[in-house]
Order: sequence, then structure tokens, then C-alpha cells
Amino acid sequence: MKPQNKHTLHVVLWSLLGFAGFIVIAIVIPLWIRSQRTSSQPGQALDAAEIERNATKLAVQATAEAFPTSEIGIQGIKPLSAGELTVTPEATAYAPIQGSVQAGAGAIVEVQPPFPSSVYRITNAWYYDSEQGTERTFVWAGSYTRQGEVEPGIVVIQIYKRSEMNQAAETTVYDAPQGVGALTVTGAEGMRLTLQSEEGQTLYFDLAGRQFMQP
Amino acid sequence: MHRKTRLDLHNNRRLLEYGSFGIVLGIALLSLVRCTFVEKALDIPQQGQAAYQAPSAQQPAISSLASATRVYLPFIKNDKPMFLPWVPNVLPTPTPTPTPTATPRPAGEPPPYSTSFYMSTTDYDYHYQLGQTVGQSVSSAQDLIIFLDYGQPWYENGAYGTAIFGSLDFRSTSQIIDAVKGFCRGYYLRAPSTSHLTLAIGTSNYGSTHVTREHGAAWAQMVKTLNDWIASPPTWADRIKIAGAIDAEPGWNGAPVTRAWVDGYDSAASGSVYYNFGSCDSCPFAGCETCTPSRGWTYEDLWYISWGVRSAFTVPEIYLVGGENADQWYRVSLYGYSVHGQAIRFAGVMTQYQSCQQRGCTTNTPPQGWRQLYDKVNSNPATALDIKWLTDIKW
Repeated sequence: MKPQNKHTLHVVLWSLLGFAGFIVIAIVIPLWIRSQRTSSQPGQALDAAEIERNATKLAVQATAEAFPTSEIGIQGIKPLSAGELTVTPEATAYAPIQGSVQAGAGAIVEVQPPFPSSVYRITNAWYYDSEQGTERTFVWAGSYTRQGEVEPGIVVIQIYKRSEMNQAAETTVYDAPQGVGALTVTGAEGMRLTLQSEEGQTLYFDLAGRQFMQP
Repeated sequence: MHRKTRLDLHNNRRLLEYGSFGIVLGIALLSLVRCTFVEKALDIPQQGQAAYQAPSAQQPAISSLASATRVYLPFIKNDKPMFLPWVPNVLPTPTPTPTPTATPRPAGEPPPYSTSFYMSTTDYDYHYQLGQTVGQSVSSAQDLIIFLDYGQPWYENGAYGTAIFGSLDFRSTSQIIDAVKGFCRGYYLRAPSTSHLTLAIGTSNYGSTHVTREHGAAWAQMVKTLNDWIASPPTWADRIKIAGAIDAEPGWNGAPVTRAWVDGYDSAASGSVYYNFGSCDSCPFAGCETCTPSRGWTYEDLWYISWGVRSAFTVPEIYLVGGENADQWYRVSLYGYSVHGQAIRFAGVMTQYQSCQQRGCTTNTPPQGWRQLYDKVNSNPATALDIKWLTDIKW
């Protein structure tokens, strides 16, 4: 073999060796390490079930967000079903809330407040019905939501009217005296509510006068 | 002259050989760096229009997740994205996400928002008219999601249902089914035939007694019943789809109870998904790294009810104008990526601008809310995605 050819052969062989090194370093070793990690550290790596779950999840989302084409069948107005034909109209008066505890002129309830918890953190509420049961007043007790800060106490008054599809006709927020945290309604005497702050203070709120009162 | 050249070549032969090897090895190492991204990409389902932005310098620390962050390869750690001219074509083919037939929305632009509703009645006529009103406002080929939120779970006289807003009267799932049918009829009559509505029927995780696995299953059964009705001849399945929904807020109930509800839903889902349109209240954000979710919730709990369950998807509340909510949900998504290998693919964003206009509070406008979450999740390739829906809730 001529020296030039021999040299070329060496270069080719070394290059192939380098390429093989690349394959080993870049692909084989990482895959091996990953497989080892998968088997030895289940808390850190994905197991087969989790990989499958992830794949399934994407398929479920694709299906959930997809709509079939319009050529899938006869379209038109559906016949009314039995339930739709016998719809019970809304009652004209409010019914008592199940689970409420009588207090003063109204009752204390723990129900979902109509506010997101990112705005107000409501503890509980007191309500009473008026106008022959067609108007309902809620006094929600709790605090502002101040993430990472002290949360000042509040009461929120809402008035609902049956005739307006239970939409709130009024929503008014009353701040507790300074330094008072989240409030809870603990009792009532007539229209005067007794509230307890999370620091243990007792406060009173006069619904007629719409103000906090001294004991 | 010729001989001298041969001699030089001969003397430097090994140098050339090692040189060649060195070059090839360099390429190999360079490719190795690139392969790290390929490795990561294997775990990040790439979405078709997923926007990508380099990580921001102001990106908040995620010290709490540091221990969970996986590094796939030895001695190579990538904090910054790198782009190399040659990329091996080993990425998985992304699952094509069905796109609406509407004019494609420019990348990074918020979609038109829909209006969702807190429901204080199951009156049939009210729902029918509401459906008509909504249908009239929908543009041709629009793909939208609307939530009808019927309030907290309730169980009365052997029937599952909710205590609707306002009166807190009990409404059974049967009554809700009939009301939703009224909404669908009104919508179908008025909405463009090319539009696509996902109607999410919502409840919440509020309450100490009625948030149960059985209630979740009953809710899924209700959704299935409605979807069966939609698909029955004459079918409306090409235009309307019903989903479940839960406003799950850590401040309202414990994680075990909420997980039981979603497990119950999933057990009876039969392909009907649900959307969590809840909050991550008190979760950490850039201004409060030491904050902890209310009632002992963990990232795992939030991830589980929002994405981990097979039928769970998320349209999170992004209310606060300072971007706190977006940051909180971004971190939950990042947790999912770090620990479970998959970030949350937020289906949409919920804002409450109209609600606050009605009752007085400060909050994001719909485009602001969408922008906050979009920018946040796209600040990190691990969580990057497009967000297709935007809805604003009112009373």
C-alpha cells in the first residue's frame, strides 16, 4: 500500500472511531443513564405508567377539544324531552336554608359565598328574609384576602330579590375597626350581630344602622 | 520537492490523525449539548403554535422545586437555551391539536373572550333566553368555552345537586339537566352553525358535607346524560359539547375531600372531561415565596385535580392585577413538569371583570388575565404553550 493511501485509511479509520465515540457519548450513555435513573429513582424519574399517562392525557385533551364535522347526521330541532315539558317554575318566596342555625331575627349559615377566595375569605354568614319571603339579606363575615399580609376583617351585606332571578340588588362592604382580623358571626340579637375576630375580640354589627358598635 | 512534501506528510501523519479525531470528538460533544434539549423535548409535548421565549432574567426563583428538577445528562446543565445549526430529527411528532376553523389567531394574541355565568336559577325560560343571547354574540367559526356555575354541591331528598347562588335553594342534577337543555336550544338557534361551544357545567368544592366522591360521580353522570342528548338525532355534536366543571379553591375545602370528588367524577366520566376553574389561593408567588396553599394543600394536590386525573383540565382564575394568580398557576404547572414530566396545558383563562363591574372589585380585564398567564408560562420552555380559550364570568 502506498504511504498516501495508508495515511488516508488511517484518517478514515480515526474519523470512524471518532464518530463511534460520538454515538456512544451522545446517545448510548445518556439513554443508559436515563434508564438506570428510571429504575433506581422512582421519585425523580418517570415510570412507564406515568409516561403512558402523559401520552394518554394529550390524546384525551385532543378528543375533548375536537368537534366532529357537520356531516355526521341529521341536524335540526330536537323534540322536547319529558323534563323540559314539565319544568317547575321558581317558587315566589325563599325557603329556609337547610342546615342553618336560628340566631336573632335570622339564621347563621356556612355556605359558599358569592365571592372568589382570592378577593374575600368568608368565614360564615347570617341571613334573614323580608317582604313576605321575597327578599333575602345576607351578612357575610370574613376578611379581605391579602396574600402574605395580615387580613383585615370585613362584613359584606347583600340583598337578593326573588323577582330578579336571585340577582344581588346590593353588595356593600364594611371594614372592621383597624387591627381586627377575620370575623365570624357567632350570634345575633334581633338585627344586631355578634362577631368574633380571629384574635378573640368580640364585635357587634348593627344591621339597621349599618355600622360596627361598641359592646 | 515532491519527496519533501511526502516526508512532511509522513512526519505529521499522527498529528493529522489525532486532529481529525479531535474535530470529530468536538462535534460529538457539541451534539451532546444539543441532545440535552432533545432529551428535554421528549418530555415536553410541543404544541403546534407553542410560543417560545427565552427565560426572563426576572424569572422568579423556584427554590422549592429545585430538588425536584431533573437533569438528564451527566456534567451538562443547561440554564439557557442554545441553538445549534444541526438538530437530529428525533423529536416525537406532536399530537395535532384540533383548531377552530376560524381565521388563525396571531401567536401571542388573546382570543375573543366569552361570558360565563354564576347561576342563581334553573328557570327554563331564563336559560333559553340566555342561550339565545349568548348565541347571538358568537362570531362565525368561533371556538369558545362557557361556564354555567350552579354553586356548591348539595344532597337533598336522595338526590345530588347544588345550592344555587342567591337563594341557596337546592337544585337537583335533573333540574340542572333540563335547564341546560334550554340553554342549548337557545344557543343552537342563534349561534353561527360554524361555531363550537364547550359548555362547562360547574359546581365547587365548598362545603363540609356534600363534597363527596358520590357527588362527583353524579355530576359526571349528569354531564354524560347531556352529551348523550346532544349526540342524539338530530345531533348537535358538531357544535356543542358539554363538560363538567369545578371551582376548586384550597381556601374552601381540604385536598382529600376535593380529590375524592374528582376521583368520583373520573370514575363515571365515560369520556366527559371536567375543567377546574378554581384558584391557587395562598400559593407562593414572586412577592411571597413563603406563602403556603390554604388548608394544607400541596402542589401535588393542585396538579392532581387540575391535570393529573385523566378527565381533569384547567381554566384557572387569573384575577389579581399584580399577576400573582398567573405566577401561582405557572408554578403548579412547573411542578407538574418537574415531577411528572408534563406541564399543565391550560385550556383557557377565566377572569371576573364583568362580575367586579357588577359588585365592585379590582381585577384583570380578560385580555390582561390571559396575557399574564400566557407570558408567565411562555417564559419557560418547560411550560410553554398557547392558551386557546378566554372567558369572563358575571352574575
